[in-house]
Amino acid sequence: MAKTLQNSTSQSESRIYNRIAVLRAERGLTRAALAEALGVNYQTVGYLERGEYNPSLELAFRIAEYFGLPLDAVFARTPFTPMSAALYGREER
Amino acid sequence: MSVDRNWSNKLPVSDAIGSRALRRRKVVALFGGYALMGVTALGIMAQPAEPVRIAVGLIFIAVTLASLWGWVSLLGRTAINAPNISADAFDERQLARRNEAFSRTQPALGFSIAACALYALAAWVMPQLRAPGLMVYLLYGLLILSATLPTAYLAWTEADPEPRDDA
Repeated sequence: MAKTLQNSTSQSESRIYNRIAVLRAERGLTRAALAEALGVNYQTVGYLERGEYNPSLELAFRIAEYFGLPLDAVFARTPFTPMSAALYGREER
Repeated sequence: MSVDRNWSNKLPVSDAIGSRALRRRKVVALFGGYALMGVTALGIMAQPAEPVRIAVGLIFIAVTLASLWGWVSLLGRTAINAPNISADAFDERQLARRNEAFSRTQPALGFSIAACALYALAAWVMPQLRAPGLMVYLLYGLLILSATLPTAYLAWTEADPEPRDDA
């Protein structure tokens, strides 16, 4: 029980949030096109977007460089503020 | 129109990645078939009446074929949801999943090999334990375990492949 609790806690703590889906949609890219540009399997992009896979530091830098943004604009340890809230100061409904 | 514009993105049938349900069916066919092979072989060795023996023999052939089908098809590209089984073509996530599958299944394989080795040692020391049929059966079991256990693990833990969105 304690071990399970510890595992689930460490898993939630190790979650890395990202904006890949938003950035990809902004640029009108398909997952396959982004995967090809990053040199990964197209399914891996889906795993990244859903937060089911945390990229290596090397891949994280590659993704940030591809979008021309600093690393912390693409990845964060805490959930990102929704774009609408960031732009207009409105909370997500 | 150029040929490459008309070229389908769809993988050829031989390269198709099975759905998780299909991969699970193959695993069940393989290990279920293996278990039934043992049961039917025992039924044949019990020397029942001729019609029963023929029926059991036919069942034995059928389950052997099912097990072989599962084995052969699991050896291929269904292993890790990748159209290519060469590790050189894997990205970091696929390599991580493959490594996880191997490391998670290694203890079970190691235990099975140790158990078979113990039996072989015991049979070597005590001739009354020697059963060539059982040894062949166990050897076949070790072969299918060593070749397909990581794939079986992935069949239960790896999601269905997503359709490509670059149509």
